[in-house]
Amino acid sequence: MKFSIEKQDLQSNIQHLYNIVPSKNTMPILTNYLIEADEQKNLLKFTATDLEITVIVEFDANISESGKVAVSARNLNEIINSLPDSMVHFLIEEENLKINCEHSKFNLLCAENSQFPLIPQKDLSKVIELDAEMFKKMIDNTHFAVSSEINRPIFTGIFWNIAADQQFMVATDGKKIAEFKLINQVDIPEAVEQIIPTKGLLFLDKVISVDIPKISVLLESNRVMFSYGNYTIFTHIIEGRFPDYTKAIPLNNNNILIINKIKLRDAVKRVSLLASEDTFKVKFDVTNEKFMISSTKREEGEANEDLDDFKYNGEPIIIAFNYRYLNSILNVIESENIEIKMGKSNEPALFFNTEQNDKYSARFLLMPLRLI
Amino acid sequence: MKTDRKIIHVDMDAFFAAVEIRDNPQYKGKPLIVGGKPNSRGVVSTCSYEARKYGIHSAMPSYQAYKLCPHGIFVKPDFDAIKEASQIVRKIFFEYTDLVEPVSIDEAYLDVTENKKNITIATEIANKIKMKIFEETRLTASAGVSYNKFLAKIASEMDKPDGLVVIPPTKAQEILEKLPIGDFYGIGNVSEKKMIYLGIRSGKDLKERSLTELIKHFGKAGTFYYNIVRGKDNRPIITHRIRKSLGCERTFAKDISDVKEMLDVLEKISQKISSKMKENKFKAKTLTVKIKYANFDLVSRSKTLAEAFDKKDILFHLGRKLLLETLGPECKIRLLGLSVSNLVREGDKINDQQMLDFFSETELAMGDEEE
Repeated sequence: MKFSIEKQDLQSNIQHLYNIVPSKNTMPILTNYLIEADEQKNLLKFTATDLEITVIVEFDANISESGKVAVSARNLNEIINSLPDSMVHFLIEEENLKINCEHSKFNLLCAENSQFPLIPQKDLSKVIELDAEMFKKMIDNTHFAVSSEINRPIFTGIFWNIAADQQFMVATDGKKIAEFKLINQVDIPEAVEQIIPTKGLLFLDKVISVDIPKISVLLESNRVMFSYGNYTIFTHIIEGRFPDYTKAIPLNNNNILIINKIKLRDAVKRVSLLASEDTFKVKFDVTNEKFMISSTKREEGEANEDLDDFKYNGEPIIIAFNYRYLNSILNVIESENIEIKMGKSNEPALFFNTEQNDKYSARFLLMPLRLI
Repeated sequence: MKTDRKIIHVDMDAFFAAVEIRDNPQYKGKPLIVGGKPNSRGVVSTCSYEARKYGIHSAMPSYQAYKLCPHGIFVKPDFDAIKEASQIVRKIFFEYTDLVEPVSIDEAYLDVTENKKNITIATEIANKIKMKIFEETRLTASAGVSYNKFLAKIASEMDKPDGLVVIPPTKAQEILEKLPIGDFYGIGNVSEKKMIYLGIRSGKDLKERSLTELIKHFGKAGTFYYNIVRGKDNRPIITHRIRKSLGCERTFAKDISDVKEMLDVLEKISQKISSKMKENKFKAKTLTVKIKYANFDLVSRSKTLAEAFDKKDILFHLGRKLLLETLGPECKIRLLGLSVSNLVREGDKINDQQMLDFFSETELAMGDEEE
């Protein structure tokens, strides 16, 4: 194998790939990139996998000899990042990968590339095409609500439902729910639903840009393939039935608060400085006349802030939230104002954008903290 | 400063060995080493005073003890007899006061400032306790009497075995000044080295340093050292310690590399811990796996869940995951252990977060993952 490529070119193509390499070495071969060079197509292919997610990136290079090699992802990454902006030459000689750039010479020992897991074939024949920007928006609006509890795996991924006229993503960890719906025209005979692990979706979230408007998806029974620009991503899916979360969403939350999103976010940020480190609790005290946010940290102090310029329609209410969760919702609210619909102090509260969009809609639910 | 408390520290003399000698009089006057066998990987639990002359001490590997004293008698501890004796001793303490702080199976602090027998002289109580212990168990204890825990402990060590030493406030200063720095409470190996580096070798040296200087070098502990060398130790008797963790580990007779064998042990340990958690009505949020490799490298890996657990399946499943993630290929290990921490007790209300019903109703997946 022998090829050369501009450092910047190589770096920009593989910069996100390292996130896929597993940090714990259950299988040492997985700490490597599989590099394949095809002389005829003049195409270079890098693959990283943790067995659950496989990412392949393909791009042009000056290839003078085809070949295949598995080499330490960490070493290669660090080497490439440290090189000057110049042409980098790669050559395999006696099972070693030689990397030369200007006056620097590296000699990397290679792993046995036949041990690298079998990579599925990219199949574009039955894919459906989706608007990439909207796909990214769905991930942005939901991924923060996934659970990290490995003993309930179905909640560690994002539930994705896709039909011909609309699709939606939902994530929940039992404390909050994030749902994002999208009106679309997709060429799909019947609705499909899958629970996709967050890791693969977050990888896509990173690489999606305005330059490439479409993303191709192939939904299979045991895995999903995404093809976007130079990238091909295979992700396994999480087995299990996602529960009917809509039952948990209250319909009669009639205490409605509307306030400027940034003002609320800044106030929460200040008050949270003296929130308990165990519960992250901030308290909302709302009536038609006043809206106060407060916090108390035992043995350290307390904080409160009165907000003005709000609209409130409902019964006086005192309700407490984990400010971290509250922030995660405020961060994805797009409109200038946020609408918060509350029921009672111990019932879930709902959060919405105030400006409606005819293409998509988002809603968020947050369970309050107990008032003591 | 309180100088009016009356604290007694009672320490059984070479407890495990003493129990053994009591039940097997033929060992009397001989170097007896209680603990692991010399050809095993065990350590010395306790040894008789005769064995101590050879330089043997607790926690020393048994094979090393054997090298020092090949003609020593090595026996395994008789836990039933030890437990029985310990319970009798504890019962005696409670005849005098309820303010008993057990430090370990053979050691406790008693606050007898006010006591059930209305005896005003603490030394008299200490003497009665010692006599009663001997009467009922045929074992000797050493006692120290003073006005705080630290001085009481120093006192109990001054005349072992079968000693009784009183440190009144008038004598405290003299004793503390002569005390080597490593013998002070709260000064372990690391602090001792640092103290010596700073030229502090005894209580006298320590006393000459200002509070500011000690805080500069030791932070918060500086204040504690400053006070303790002046005989000020206001630590109360803690009658019940709140358990912060629970663990169980197993050293293999031979290093093992078979993953299946490890998992078998892990499963047994999980069962043991789970039962104990249920018995004592608490759950945990954090699980830690401890592995000692054949070369004695020690690693531990933890995982914390949002929800507290006590089920064996969860312990085993999580433990297995952590173990497999940590273990390199063909690793040989000599010890495997599990412990739980971040404990949540029934009635604890530390978590104010309310949960959606469907989440907790969703079955826990304990299914097998690929190896």
